[in-house]
Amino acid sequence: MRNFILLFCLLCIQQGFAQDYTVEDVMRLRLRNIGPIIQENQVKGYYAFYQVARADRGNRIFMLKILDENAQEVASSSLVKSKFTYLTEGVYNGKAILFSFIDTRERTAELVTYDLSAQQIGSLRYPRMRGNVWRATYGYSMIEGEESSNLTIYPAGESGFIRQSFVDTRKTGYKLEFLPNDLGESGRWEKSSDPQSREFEVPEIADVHAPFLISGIALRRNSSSRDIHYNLQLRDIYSGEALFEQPLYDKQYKLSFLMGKFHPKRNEIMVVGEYFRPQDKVFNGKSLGLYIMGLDLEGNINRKVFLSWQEDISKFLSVNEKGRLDEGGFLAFHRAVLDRDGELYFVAERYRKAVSGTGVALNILSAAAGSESSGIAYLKMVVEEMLVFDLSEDLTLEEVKIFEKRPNSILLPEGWGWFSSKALAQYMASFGWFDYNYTQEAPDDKSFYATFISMDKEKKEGRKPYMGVIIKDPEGEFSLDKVDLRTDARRINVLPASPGKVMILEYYKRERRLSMRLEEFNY
Amino acid sequence: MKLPILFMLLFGSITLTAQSLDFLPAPPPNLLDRETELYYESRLKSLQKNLPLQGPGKRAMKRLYEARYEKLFRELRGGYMIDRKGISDLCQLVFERIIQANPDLQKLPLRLYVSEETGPNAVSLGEGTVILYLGLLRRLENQHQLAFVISHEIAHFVLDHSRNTMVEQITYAYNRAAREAEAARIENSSRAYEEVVNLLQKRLYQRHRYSRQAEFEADSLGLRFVMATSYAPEGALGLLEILDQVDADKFQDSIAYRQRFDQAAYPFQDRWMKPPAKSGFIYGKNDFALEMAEDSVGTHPDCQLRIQVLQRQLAANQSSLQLARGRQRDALFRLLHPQMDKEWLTSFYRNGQVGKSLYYSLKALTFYQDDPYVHSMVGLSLYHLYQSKKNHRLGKVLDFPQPKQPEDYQTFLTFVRNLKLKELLGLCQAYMGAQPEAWNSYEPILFAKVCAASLSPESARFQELSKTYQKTFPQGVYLEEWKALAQP
Repeated sequence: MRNFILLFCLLCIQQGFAQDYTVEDVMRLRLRNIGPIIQENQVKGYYAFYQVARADRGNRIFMLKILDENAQEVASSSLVKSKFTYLTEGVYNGKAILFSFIDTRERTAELVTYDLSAQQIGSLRYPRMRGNVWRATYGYSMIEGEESSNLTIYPAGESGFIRQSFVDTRKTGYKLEFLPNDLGESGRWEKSSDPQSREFEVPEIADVHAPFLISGIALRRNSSSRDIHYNLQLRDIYSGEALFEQPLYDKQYKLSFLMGKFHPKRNEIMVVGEYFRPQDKVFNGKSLGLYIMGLDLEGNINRKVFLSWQEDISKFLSVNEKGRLDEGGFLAFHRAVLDRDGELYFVAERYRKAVSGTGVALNILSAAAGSESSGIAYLKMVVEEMLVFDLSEDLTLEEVKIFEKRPNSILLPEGWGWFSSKALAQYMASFGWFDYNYTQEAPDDKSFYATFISMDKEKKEGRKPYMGVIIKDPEGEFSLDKVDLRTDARRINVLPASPGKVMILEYYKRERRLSMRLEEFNY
Repeated sequence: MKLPILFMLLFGSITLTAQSLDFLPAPPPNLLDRETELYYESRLKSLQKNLPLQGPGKRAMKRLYEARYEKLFRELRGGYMIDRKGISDLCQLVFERIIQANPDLQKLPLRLYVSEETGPNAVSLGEGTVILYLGLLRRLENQHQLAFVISHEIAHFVLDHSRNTMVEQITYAYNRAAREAEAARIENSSRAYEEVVNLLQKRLYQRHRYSRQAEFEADSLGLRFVMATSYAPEGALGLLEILDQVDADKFQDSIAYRQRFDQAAYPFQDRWMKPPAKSGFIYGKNDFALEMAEDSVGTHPDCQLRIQVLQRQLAANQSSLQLARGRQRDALFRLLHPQMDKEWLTSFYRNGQVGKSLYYSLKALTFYQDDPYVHSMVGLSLYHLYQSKKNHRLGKVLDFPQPKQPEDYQTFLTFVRNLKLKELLGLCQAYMGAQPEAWNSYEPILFAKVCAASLSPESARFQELSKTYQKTFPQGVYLEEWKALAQP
């Protein structure tokens, strides 16, 4: 999330008089260290991890607070750790909570598990990481991606967790491991990519639906290559055995990987993404449209649908054969949601590259002042309206809903203007620069909430920041709700919450107080 | 003032306010007149003159006094105090009688205020000002109990408890050498965390031990002050018994949601009472605060223990104790309770605790059946909950259900949280629509009806009610709020 790395300070947390959960005497807290505890894309609680005292020269005493999904405190526990420790993820599996820490000085990772009363039940420290493995691990831990999803650790039933990490191979590869709740040896397995592989391999775990683990493996010659191809992998989470691993392939097209999900009703693996001409590169090429594929549990393709910009999507949007919209710009697909009846939705956002008046002016001024550059590109990215593609169970595109919002300009660093629009969109997505925030799927598997942060401009009130929520209710109706984010507080931030709600964090600097409150969406 | 005249005055006002259609919320008073301001400024100067500390400690103590007065000024000016015939007069009467009966107190700079704070408490600011909370007054049963509350707080001032605590804490905070020695010891220790916890515990225990000792002392001296008056000292025992059960609400019957909200225009739905799914977490088993023995962190000693100590003191001074006198409900309090309860409900509402205002209003309806003022509070609270939910501010005015809360309150929160925005609107309008037309002559009811109707601003009903309000109450207590509704 944007503005996420804010430094707040904190001494102690207590239950306040007010209706919200209040953190008093805030002195020092990295806001990144307040995050959601997630189970299968559902927020089950929150953690707050903050320094309370100095233990010795290199170590600090940290307090770890566990809050439930209504931000009520469950328990607190103290830990002595290196002062370079960061809590990067919190995952819940119904029986245990796993926290993942990294120590940026020692370059180590550590996992700690707690039972539901916050008693520590296990811990596991990994050896020091080097080179690409450390860089990739550190980069992943700093990702500003969707916070309603797991990043590297996933619940695997109630008995353990699946963790993905990087390993040193001929090129950098990956390791998947199953960790029991007590992080002991019993039931544990590890599966790594081929050590002789000539490609850089990064797994993207798409769905863990016991007993299946569905991953898309991105392969490329090196970490900066823009020519990416994907493998689809299905594993049994309890044995670790691969049920199949095969390239995402079509005779005519190159395919990208956007989502993979188990479809219980059809006992099928659903895979969706964009398709490209064979000579195009997935990272920066212009796609021809969207594909949806259904595979059985042995990897055989049951059905395959291509929705081309020219033939199918243009019925609902003015768009050319390469996905360029008539009003200018392209679509970035952020999330695909598959509901229990097999209906499919894509959440997208329009973006375009434009000349930046500020960039031009700054560069002219820099040149006049004798400086070589201003550090800002002449071009900027503009993100515009949100869109939701609605596909029926038989994968026919039925409707494209458009949700207007004010265009938001993003100034680009110098040199970025040379990248293609598609490549810029990839970078922007990984830095969290789109207005899109996250999507929550409700446990009924019929409704979802896609959120974005934007700004309204009103004559009397000036700028009015708000969180927009595209709501698809269980009856299939779409609506838009706006959560006003104006505040008297010094800073405001939002975190995902249980479906239909949002957690609002407000920091009052003068009172040194951080308040957390839950608000419900209206529809 | 002579007692019979006061009683007549009190009865006059109480008789009026006890009529269910006569209670009106008083506008927040500004009690900070020039005389009060000058009085407190001179008190501050005299307090700051004779400080027992030197250097930075002295400066810190000065700042603390200034902050304390700033807060008091804000509260006096900002309408946090209550100035209502009946409640305030009775408290002042008892206060004056205690001072008259104790010649030593007559020389002291003592003042008394009643605050609209909803908690069951009273405080001594440490320089002669005693503040009684409305939340405590409404739980009292007689003047004897009230006399003991006031005497107890005066005793804290006479015994200099607040000032002594301040000096002790500032002395510690500014004793750099002691703190540095402690820090060095902790830093060099291999068990740093345990050392920090032990230190915190020690400080907390010391402070609370002192605080609990101070309560016993204030009880004892306060009882002496009461015994010099004609009030029954057994009131002290009665009060402590009440405090012992203060967590149990005065309105104990459960809310009958279906009966209350099943309107022909808006039928009750079972879904509204569906409890939320349990989180699965086990609460408070591994809590740092709970690791410290619970009793050790209480600032007040156990009430039963205080009763025993006071009983010994009373037995030593009196031949016979009439314990029942301590719990007898007197006529004055019987008459004042409805007024106090309604002020108390209003206080939640006025201070933005709209969820609690609705909860306690619904509870109050189990006690004050069909009281129009309480019905108006239900309507107004529903209206504000709707507005808060619409603006995504509900979290600021309504709790989430959690295991630590009383079951009754959790049920209430579940009910409100289950209501969708349009249901809250429907419920508010149906509820106020069901109130008798005959009550429209009572301003709180009519205003609550205007608010409910304003949720459909284009409706003829809103226009009609709004006009009626303007015509009937051109100088009404809700006039400013009505203007905001009528001319948004």
